[in-house]
Amino acid sequence: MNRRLCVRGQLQRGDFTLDINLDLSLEHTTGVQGVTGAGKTTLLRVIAGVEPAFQGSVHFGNECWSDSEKRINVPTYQRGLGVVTQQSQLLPGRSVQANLDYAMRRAATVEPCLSFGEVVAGLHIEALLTKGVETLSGGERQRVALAQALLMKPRLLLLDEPLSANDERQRQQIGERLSTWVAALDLPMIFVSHAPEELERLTRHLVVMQAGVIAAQGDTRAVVVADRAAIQTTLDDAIRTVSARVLRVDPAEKTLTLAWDDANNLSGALVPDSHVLVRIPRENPSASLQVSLQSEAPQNQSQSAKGVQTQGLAGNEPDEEQ
Amino acid sequence: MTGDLQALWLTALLAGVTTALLIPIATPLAWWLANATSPLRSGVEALVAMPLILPPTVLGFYLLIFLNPDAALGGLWVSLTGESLTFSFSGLVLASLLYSLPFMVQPLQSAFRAVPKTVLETASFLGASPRDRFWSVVLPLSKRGFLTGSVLTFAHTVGEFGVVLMMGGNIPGETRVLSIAIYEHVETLNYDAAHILALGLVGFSFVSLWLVYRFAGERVEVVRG
Repeated sequence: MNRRLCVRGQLQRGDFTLDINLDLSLEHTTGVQGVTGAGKTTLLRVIAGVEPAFQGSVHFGNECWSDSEKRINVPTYQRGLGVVTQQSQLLPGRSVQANLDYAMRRAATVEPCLSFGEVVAGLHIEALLTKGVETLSGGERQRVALAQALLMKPRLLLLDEPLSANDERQRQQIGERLSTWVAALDLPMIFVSHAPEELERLTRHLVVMQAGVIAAQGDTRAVVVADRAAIQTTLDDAIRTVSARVLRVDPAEKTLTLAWDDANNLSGALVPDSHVLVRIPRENPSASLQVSLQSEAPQNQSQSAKGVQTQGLAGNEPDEEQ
Repeated sequence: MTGDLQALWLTALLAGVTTALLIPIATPLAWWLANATSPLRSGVEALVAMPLILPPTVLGFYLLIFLNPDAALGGLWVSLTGESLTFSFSGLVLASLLYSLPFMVQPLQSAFRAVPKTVLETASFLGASPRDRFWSVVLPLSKRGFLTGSVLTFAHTVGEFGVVLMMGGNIPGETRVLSIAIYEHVETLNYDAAHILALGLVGFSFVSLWLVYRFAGERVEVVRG
């Protein structure tokens, strides 16, 4: 089955511009990552066909879902999607069971699918079936929404932070089950999240969005590792780590007196009331002590810098004696 | 007294028929008004609301002009049904539809507007077409709007006077509704009979509005009558 997804075009909303040129094979589950406001949700909504302001085209397989130039727009309900949004709105005034029935009754019947019992048990919602949706917690609502999306036998799953309101254990369990299901059904899935671990667990291809454009994409693991390296480099640039020796600890004055090695000339790097981070080993406090100097002065320096003094060894005059 | 019972029955029939006909007429109109982005919307909204501020005698006067058998519209009706639209029950129904239109449209319009867009979006994610969404999502969530609209329309039609007087007159069993009967009792100085009917209408109005507030909640804005 051809399941290539192509999205090309722009969307302008106030200061925000989404500018997308995306071609996904969807052979493997695909993740979308990015900070808040990067356009992940908007991209998903464009694919789902609920962003009328989008100028461009969306193709899935051999089908044209939308093309603003040719004035083609296949309505959302005919696209065969399973969608879960961040604030999933269940249908109000109905029980969980009625919400699931609603989805099943409108399901496209051609695709292979999971049984009702399997989904309900797998997502831990058996006990909720008779409850009204108004009484559910955020996490429960998300799981019911996910069940709806799976039970309507979609051709493509679009999940936008579908488990964000569940605790870590639930996220892991449900994530694993979801992986098994989409693999068994060979169901293409796009999973939006800002949690790298979750994306690493659930997806094999990753699209990274930044300020409305695709900043990077590739194998999830490679992208996540590269991302971590980039973060580390940024940290390394901002922070200089020096080792020092503790001379005096005065619990009454909450004052710490440090001595640095000759190799680290810190006379210009530290000024009174500047902010430093002191990293102390938990296991063996006498082993070593690291002081991190941040290149930028933080705002609440008076509080955090209090009580740390540095003193030069071998004749270096201390910057400040209190 | 039998005349008054006849008037009571005629009034209830008129109000019932008007309400029953206005539901299917006002529903698509209110849905359009609740969702339209067209520049025509404010114009249509104003037209629908006109009976709220127009003196009923003005409405009655124009209906008399356009619906009398010598006018094009009234003549057409006569040739189709053999019955005149002026000084007849059918004419009163037509007049009431216009006169009570805002009382049905406005509650429905605000009920439709109160259905969250996100809920409609969710239904479309679940495979519901626009028509399906209207029946399965919008209608159940707008029950209170329908209740409010129906009660207000019924009660308002019961209180119709000026329009009836202008184009219906006072024909027992045909156009002699309660408000006309009261007027006639007062004219003939039969205050006892007038008291009975007037007090009955006071009670009826109270119960109608109580129903609306009791079951439709605080979200309802009762339009000026």
